[in-house]
Amino acid sequence: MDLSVTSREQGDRTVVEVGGEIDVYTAPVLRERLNDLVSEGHHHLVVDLERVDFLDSTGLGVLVGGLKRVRSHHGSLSLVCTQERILKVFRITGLTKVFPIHDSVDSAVGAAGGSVDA
Amino acid sequence: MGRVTLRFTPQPEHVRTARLVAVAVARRAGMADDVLERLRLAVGEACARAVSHSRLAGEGADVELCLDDGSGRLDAAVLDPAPATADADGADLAMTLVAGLADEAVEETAPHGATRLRMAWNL
Repeated sequence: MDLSVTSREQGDRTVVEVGGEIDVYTAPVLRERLNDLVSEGHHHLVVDLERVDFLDSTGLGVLVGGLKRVRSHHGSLSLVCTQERILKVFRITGLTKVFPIHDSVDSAVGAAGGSVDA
Repeated sequence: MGRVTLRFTPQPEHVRTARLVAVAVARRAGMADDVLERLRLAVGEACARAVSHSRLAGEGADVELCLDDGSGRLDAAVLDPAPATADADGADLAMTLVAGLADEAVEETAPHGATRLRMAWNL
């Protein structure tokens, strides 16, 4: 399978670990998982992208959709990403201003909910 | 090195195939690793956009990727058989990415109402 998505609780957040490639073909799987989590009442999400090899605009769209969805429940969605090739995608599209992006799951979980990091 | 053309039915799973072919061809042409990453993403975006247009138009017409390495550049051209007249948000993001990733990117008209997105990287 090109994409793996698992989730677990840490602190008061739900950490969603994504692995593999998020592209036009696999992004719908991630969308469905995020939607399911929100429907089940998990409104504070940390999406860990450290094991993602590839992310395209469809993937970005799914993450933006997830952010909108949790916000409608007064929740939060932050990302964990230190890979330059993935960060570049957020930078070129200006989405670094939209998502809090952390260096580790621990720092994402420890951050105040809904804060916008530089 | 010559030209490599990949033609495929507009299915999302083939976008990855197109990325892999583009990277293989560019690597053989001597492209540096960091530029390869940009090409990988840009070709993927262009193909995904063409696939989505073709499916939306309902025709299922083939998408074509053509790679060529003449004159110190790697050219990648994606034929979009059914370009949308008004692009949805997703496609705008794709073009933003392509413009930011390629050294040059130009979209031109092609026969039968198609468009061709030509991207190029200096080698």
